[in-house]
This record gives sequence, C-alpha cells and structure tokens, in this order.
Amino acid sequence: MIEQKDIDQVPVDIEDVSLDVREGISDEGQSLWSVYVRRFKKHTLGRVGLVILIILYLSALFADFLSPFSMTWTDRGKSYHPPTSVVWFQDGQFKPFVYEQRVVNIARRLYSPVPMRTLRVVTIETVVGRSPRRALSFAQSAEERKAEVLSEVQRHYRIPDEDPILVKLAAEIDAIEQLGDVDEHRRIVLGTRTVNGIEQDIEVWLTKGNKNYLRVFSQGIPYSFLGLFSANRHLVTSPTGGFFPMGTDQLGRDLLSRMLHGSRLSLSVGVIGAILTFFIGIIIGGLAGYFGGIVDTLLMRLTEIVIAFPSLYLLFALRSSFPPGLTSIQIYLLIIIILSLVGWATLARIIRGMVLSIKTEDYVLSARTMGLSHWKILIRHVLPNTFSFSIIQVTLAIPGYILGESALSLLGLGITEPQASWGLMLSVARSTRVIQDFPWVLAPGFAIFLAILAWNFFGDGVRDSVDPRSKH
Amino acid sequence: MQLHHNMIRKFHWKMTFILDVLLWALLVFVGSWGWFVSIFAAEVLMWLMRLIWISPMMLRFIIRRLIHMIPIVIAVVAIGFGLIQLAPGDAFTLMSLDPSIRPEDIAMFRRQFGLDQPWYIQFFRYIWNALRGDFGYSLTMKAPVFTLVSQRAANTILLSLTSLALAWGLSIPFGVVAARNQYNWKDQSISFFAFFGLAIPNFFLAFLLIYIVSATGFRALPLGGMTSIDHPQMTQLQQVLDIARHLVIPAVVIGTSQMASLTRYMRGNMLEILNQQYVVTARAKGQSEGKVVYRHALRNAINPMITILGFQLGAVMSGAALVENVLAWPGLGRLILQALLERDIYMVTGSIIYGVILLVVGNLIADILLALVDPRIRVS
Repeated sequence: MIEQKDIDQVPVDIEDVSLDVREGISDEGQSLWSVYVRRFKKHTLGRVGLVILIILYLSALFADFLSPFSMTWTDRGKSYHPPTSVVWFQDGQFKPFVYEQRVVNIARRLYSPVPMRTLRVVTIETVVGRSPRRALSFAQSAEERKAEVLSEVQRHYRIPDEDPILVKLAAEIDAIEQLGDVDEHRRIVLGTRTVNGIEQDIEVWLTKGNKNYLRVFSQGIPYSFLGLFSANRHLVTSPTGGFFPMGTDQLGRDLLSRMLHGSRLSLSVGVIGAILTFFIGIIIGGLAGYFGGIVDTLLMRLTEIVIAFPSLYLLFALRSSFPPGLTSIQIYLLIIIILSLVGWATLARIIRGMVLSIKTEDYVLSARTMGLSHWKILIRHVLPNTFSFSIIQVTLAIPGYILGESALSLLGLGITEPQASWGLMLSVARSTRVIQDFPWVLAPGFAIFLAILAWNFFGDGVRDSVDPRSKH
Repeated sequence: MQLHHNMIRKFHWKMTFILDVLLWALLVFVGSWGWFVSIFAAEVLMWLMRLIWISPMMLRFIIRRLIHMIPIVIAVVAIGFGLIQLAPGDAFTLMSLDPSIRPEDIAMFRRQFGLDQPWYIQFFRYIWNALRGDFGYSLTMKAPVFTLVSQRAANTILLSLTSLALAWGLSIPFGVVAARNQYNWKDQSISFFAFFGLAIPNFFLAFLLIYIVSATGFRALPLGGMTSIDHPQMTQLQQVLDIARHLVIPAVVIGTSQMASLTRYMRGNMLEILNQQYVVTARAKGQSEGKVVYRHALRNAINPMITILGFQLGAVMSGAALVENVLAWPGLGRLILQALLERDIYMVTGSIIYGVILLVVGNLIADILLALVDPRIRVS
C-alpha cells in the first residue's frame, strides 16, 4: 500500500520540505520549471539581480537610441571633458541645457563655458562614424564672428570663396544675428556634397550663445538600429553637442555613449561564452563519464592540464598563438572561444562525475536492454539529467567571462579601437595621472561591477531555486 | 626498521626549526631576491623531510603526488612548444629583416639552435632543455629566459603569498564573527562586503585605491612599482620596509577578492560546526564560550578550508598577473604581457611554463597540508 502523507503532519516551519510534499500530492501536475520559477520568485537577491540584468541587457540592445551620441562621435577639441552639469530651468521655465565649454588650460584640461556672444556652426553627422566639424567664434563684433566661422567652414569643405554653400551660410548668419534672442539656434541645409560617390546634404546647426539645449526623442546622429532600419532618434541628446553626462575620453568621445555601445560586447561575451562552455563541458564530460576507459583517461588528463594553468596565463598563452592584425569581429569571436577554452574544464570534470553515477541507474540499464544505442542513451537519458546542474554552474561562471574579456581588453589583448568595450575604456586608467586628473574615466568600472554583482545575485538565485539543498 | 624509526624520534623534529631561522637570517643578511628562490626550495625540501619524519605514510603519499605531477609538467612544456611552433616565424625571423646580418649567418644560427631539424627532434630537445631549466634565449631582453623569469617569479611569489596571508588572516575571524552573530548587523555587513569583494574586478579596485590615495594626498602608499627610485641607496631594513610599503595596495587588491569567497565559506563551515553535537557537549560541560568556539569549533571549521587553498593558488596567480600589469609590479604576469606584446615567444612560453610549475608545486604543498590535517587522505 502506498503511504499517504498528511499535509498537517509536515512541519510548516521548514518551508521547502512542506512545499515539496504539497507539490507531490497536489492534484495538478507541476512541471519542474514552474517549481524552479516559483522558488526563484521568492529569492529576493535573485530577483534584484534579474531586474538589474534585464535593465543592463535592454540598454545594450537599445544603446543607439539611449546614447546621446554615437560610439565614434568625436569632438576633437574636448579631450577629457568633465561630466557636464545640466541647468534645468531658464527664466523660470523648464528648459534644460548645458553650457558649451572650451579648454582654458590645455595641460590640465580645465574647461570653462564659452562667452555669451559665441556663434557656432555644428555639422550634423551624415555618415555614421564620421566626426562632425564644428566652427566656433567668440569674437567681439558680429562681423568678426561671421568672418571667422565662414573661413573655418570654407577650410573644412575645401571650397572656393564664392561657393553657394558659403553664400547661403553667410545669409543665414546675418539672419540669426539680427534676432534679439541670444540663444537662437536653428537647423539649416546648406547644400550637397559628394562623399564616396554618394551625394549628401550638408546639414548644420547654426547656434548663437553658449547654451546647448537638451531635447527628448530628438533627431540626432543617424544610426542603423541593429542593422534592421536606419533611424536618428535619441532619448536625450543635444543636437549642438557639448552634452556629456559622464565626460569624454582622451579623444573627445562621449563616455556614456561608448559605455552603452561597449556593453554590447562586454555583456554578450559572458552569455555566448557560457553557452559555448556549456556545450564543450557537457560533451567532453559526458563522453568521458559514459564511455570510460581510454577516452576517459585521455579527456581527464586534458582537463587536469587545463586546470593546472592559472586561467590568466592560459588566456595569455592562447592569445599569443594567434596572429596580430585581426579585425574587431574576429577578435570578438576569438575572445569568446578563448574564454570557453579556459572555462570548460571544471564543468567537464563535474559532469563526468555525475554521468558516472547516472550510468548505474536502473533506467539506463533498461534503456540498454530495450536496445537503445549508446549515443541515444547518452543524449536522451543521461545528459538531460545533468542539465539543471550545468545551468547553475554556467550561470555562476558568466561573471568570470565578463571579467576575462575586460581583463584582456584592458591589457590591450582584446577588443581594439575604435570599438568600445568596458575593459578597453578602462585601459587609459592604467596611467596614474589620468586617474588623478580625470576620475570619470573609471565609470565603465562601475558598470562591470554592477554587471558582475547582478550576475552573482542571479546565479545565487538560480542555484538556490534549482538545487535548494546544495551547500553554499 | 622500527628501531631506526625510534632512533630518529629521539631527536625531536621541532629542533629543525633552528635551521629555518638560520635560512631566513641568511636571506635577510644577503638581502638579495636572487636568494629567495633557493631558500624557498630549501624550505620546501625541509618541510617534506619533516612530514616524512612525522608520518611514514606521508612519504608514499608525496611520492604518488610527485609522480602524478610529471605528466602535467611534460604536457605543459609540450603546450609551450606547440605555441612556439604555432606562432608565425621563428626566433630569427626578426633578425633576417636586418640587412646588416648576412643570410648565411642566420642559417648558421638556425643550425646551431637546431631550428633546421624536423619538429619532433626539436620537440624532444625543447623538453630536455626545459627540464634542465633552459627555456631558450630572449632576443628582446638579450638574456637567457630562465634567468629573467626566475627573478620575476620571486616577486610574484612574494605578492601571492602576502595576499594569501592577508585573505586568510582576515577571512577566518570575519567568518567566525559572522557565524556567531548570524543574521544580525555584523553578519549582514560582513556578507555585504563579501558580495562587494566578489563582484569588484581586481583591476578596478586597484584603480579606485589609486584614486583614493591620490585624492586624499596620502603619500605613505606608493601608487605602483615594487621599489622607490632611491631603493639601491637604502639600508637593508629600509629596503625591506620600502618593498613592504609598495606591497600594500597590490596585496589588498588581490586579497579582497580572495577574502570574499573565503569568508562566505568560513561562515558556512562555522555555522555547520556550531550545530554539531560535540559543540553542544562542550557547552553542556560548562566550558566558556571562547573555549567552545576557538578550541572545538574553529579548528574543525578550518580543515575543509584547506581544500580550497589548492583552487585558490591558481586564482591568486591569475589575480597577481593582472594586478602586476595594472600596478607595475615586476612579476611574472607583467613579464608575460611585455613579451607577448613584443612577440618574444620564447619568453612567453618560458614564463608560462614556469608559472604553471609554480602552481603545480603550490598545489602539491596544499595537498600535503591537507593530508597533514586530514589523515583519511593519506591512506586513500
């Protein structure tokens, strides 16, 4: 006779046990996954981690839209520009703006706002990745300002004196200088020019005064969203430049935009690397454990050797065996492969141990008696039993991959310019002087910290909900 | 045999610690890091002798572990050789670009170094040379690789051991405090710091410390390197203090990440032990709480920690390699990166092999320690 468990006899203070028993006798069958999900929902830290991760990965996905500028947008005059503070109200109205600043001390890169009477011409980027030209003048008289700006624009486009572009610009400048508003700014199309055989409009922002107004959902630098369609809307941007919520780097690129774009590489390396490791680990561990004998010995010697390496040394060794001069996508794939080649060994060893014990179970024997081939038994009956454990292991290993990528990029062995990755962005901080004078370059470090913390929380949550009895 | 054993027993093994003191005194008086490696080796040997002395079972255990090491070392050397073969060109490719060297001379060099031989002969020659401590010649630094590597390895060992000592020295009391005050604010704050230490990347912590030190103008801690500029003019004691000063930031950085996991582990162990019946018995006997915790519980909680030591050594060496590069500590990791960027492949493989052998030896020591505290391992 089957022993019936009475719910009331199960001590309710041990939540897990009572739940398990209740699950066992409930009328509706519950899938294992729904049990995992329910346990995970009760894990506070795990939930916090999951929320942070969702935010991080969504912002990586929508990096183009969220960032004020693009990854490579450069303002050459603004190397190590400090984070700009936003002025929210102007004349009692909600009109957020940042001051346009310029270098006043080139050695210490001190910035201060430009004078009120400034006249600026800011080119709108028409080709993704091209840095815009900006002409500005803060001469005393309107005539001088006009002359200076015109000559700079002329020099940039290498056009003759009486070119229609210059004539149109001169007329627009006259028009804007007539107006009483000191902060007048407008978008104008000056004409067309041919770049790489494609005719493009020259669009510029003609701006008076020293303020860069912030706009929400405004048109900014064009981008191709995930390679699907082209767009130019940005969540918050200043069409006239000068808005750097986290400062700029040594070349004058917006740090926030680069961080958002860099998160695509830095965050995806961990997940893809983990998936690859999962497969390598499960295949090698499964083969070694199930077939035993010479296969086992060889594979396990191999794992021992991989484990015998300090992981960073192995990274160095693998990196040294590849030729220099790879493209950035090749390097990205290479890093993923290298990271999983370093990470598979511990997983394979644990899987082997699990397979060794699963192999002796009755259901494997019965499957064998029914004439199933070894491969089918391994793939359909043995390996699925190691999945839940492998998923825990792999989730817990993701922070390590994120760290590995940042470390390689930090040391100049990983992602290269002009691509952005968090580690690469931190590599300027290897100079003590940069940290002392421009501490905002450390911002990507906080991003790495947050990502690793979130993955740790999430990994703990997954482990506790999938395998609640495991020892921490 | 029994008689022989007893004769040895008459001379108490603890007397050999005098030899240790002499060795360390020698190191202090000679004051050169070149001696560090040889004294380290002598120490290792003496500890082995002592262990065999204490327990004859240990000898068989150690020999078994040593034999186990051999294939790993050979495989690592083979991987090193494979890397050299995979890398484009050989050691004389750069030289052949120099128009002032005749091609015949380069061919002669290749012949002398055996590079004209088929790969399998080169392979056995490389292994044979590596086993004798000859990892080839660094063309960028113009010195034998082994000499350069062993100098740097001493610095890495110093850094790794200091951070390990720091991590263990802090995480055990932290773990005990957290376990004894489970779920109150002490435990919570220690857990918080453990999470923090686990999540913060080593290099980022180093940058933050540099920023804090430079922003507060606290100049007692140097921001990088291993020695000050005027190090050679200092007296022996000043030199030691100088290096100790430089050690603080890198050791704290590596120690923090290690400490995090150790503290969590120690807390778990301690909680488990404090629920054991013999602890209840000890309390029931009326022993003081301090005695119960520190005599009965602590010792048993530390035992399983030694298993982690083996895993930890690899992590510490990786951490050290990264931190060395960030903080300009002249260790193995920095040497490898320099060599890698200059494509000095003999140097890269030489230092990697050296590093792996260091780690394998470290693991052996950890195993021996574990066997010492846990007799079950010796027998199985």
